[in-house]
Amino acid sequence: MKKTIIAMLAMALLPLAMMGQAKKPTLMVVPADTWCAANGYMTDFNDQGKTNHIPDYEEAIQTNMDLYNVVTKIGELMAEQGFPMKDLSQTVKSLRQSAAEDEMTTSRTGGSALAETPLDRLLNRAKADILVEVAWQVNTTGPKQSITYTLRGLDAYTNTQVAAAQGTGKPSFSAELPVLLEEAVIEKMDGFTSQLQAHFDDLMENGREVNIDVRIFDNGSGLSFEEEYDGDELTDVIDNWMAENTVNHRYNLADATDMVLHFEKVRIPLYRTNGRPMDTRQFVTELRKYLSVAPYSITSKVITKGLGKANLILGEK
Amino acid sequence: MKHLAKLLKRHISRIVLMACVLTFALPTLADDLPDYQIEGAGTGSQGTYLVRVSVLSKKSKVSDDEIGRCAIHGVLFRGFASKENRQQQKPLAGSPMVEMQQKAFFDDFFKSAYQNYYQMVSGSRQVVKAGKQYKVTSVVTVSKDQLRKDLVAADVIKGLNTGF
Repeated sequence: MKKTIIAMLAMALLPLAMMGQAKKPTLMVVPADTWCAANGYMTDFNDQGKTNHIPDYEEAIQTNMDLYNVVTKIGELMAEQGFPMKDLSQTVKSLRQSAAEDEMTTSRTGGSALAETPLDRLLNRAKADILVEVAWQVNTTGPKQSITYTLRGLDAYTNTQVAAAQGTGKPSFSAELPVLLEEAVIEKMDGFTSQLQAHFDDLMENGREVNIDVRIFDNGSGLSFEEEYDGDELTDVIDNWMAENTVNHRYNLADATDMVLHFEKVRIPLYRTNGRPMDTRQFVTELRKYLSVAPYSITSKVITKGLGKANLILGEK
Repeated sequence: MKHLAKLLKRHISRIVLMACVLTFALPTLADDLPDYQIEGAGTGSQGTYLVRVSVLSKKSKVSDDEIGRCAIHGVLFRGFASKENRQQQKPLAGSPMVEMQQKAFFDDFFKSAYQNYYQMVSGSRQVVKAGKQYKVTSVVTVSKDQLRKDLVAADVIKGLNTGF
């Protein structure tokens, strides 16, 4: 009897013990586009005849000492709060190293190269779940100098600003630029982290906010979101599933055509029913499984883009 | 027993109201503190806040300990600003409500533990007579990083890492 009670208690407490470890978002500091443009760290590329400008993080972090110091200081302050960040310079180096290694990797018997789809190559870039953009400008009035400093935390997948700190420091006659910059970073960091804390608190209470796209492979199967099942269109079937499985039924069906459903601000729970951490891939996989059985019997493929975005593509694998 | 249950049922709203009144009427930590003002005094070294605390008192002698206690209270629950130094910091505890919510912890904390988190800046004390009162001002260094770490460890406030 005693053993049974202990076993039952252990079973009941097991999910509780497993909870409390939601997937941690990754943060990385990058220079803001405006800062890169003002300091000449943009590269141009030709996109079908149109010239586009993109920031050159590698060049910026390798040649600008002030940026290097600011990124290092922000990383240090965040690590002190128990939240180490992804390092931009190491990420850039590691991406280049991986690309070189992948090119040289072949199988011993057949000499085959590593398989990589065009999508894999596209996704292989410096990324984090929250990008912390930093920018500053030096203001000079006569002999006095001051710094206008901006720090913005952007959720990379929902494109929302989740934290920010901005302001101009006290003008100084004598302080050198690195000192003024260090003061600006130290001064603004607490305001920034308190907003980040509020964002994480909201995430714990209302679930993680993600974006989900449901699309259809153009494979000539004739499948569309207007296909009816027991009188309900496929759009309604998926919409109802979202309503049932999101936290407090919170989500937004922003676009719905016969070929694309775009769900925004989808609040997914932090934990699965077995107590393990939930992520966007798991959440969308649940939808994939739901659609794979009768009466729908639809084969589909899940593609994830970090913690916060996933595509479900119906029609084939 | 039945009679007691009936009595409770009949007066439950009054009992709840009384409990609320008693909770909020209890002396709060702030009641023990002297009247004080807090403002930023420039950027402190890493991990610290530099604040200027002015205590209003009938006596010109205000102890360093009293000023330090006000500095810690202000940093935790009021936050501070300074137009001159272009500074603004929110309360370290997140909200002034935390003082009420964690009353037992802070009652104990403000008995002596707070003394580990501040240091007076020597030579900064000023005493000015303002009407019938004295305004005693000092600049205080508050070890805010250590204070935050210890409060997170004691589960009084949340850290960035909480839940992950």
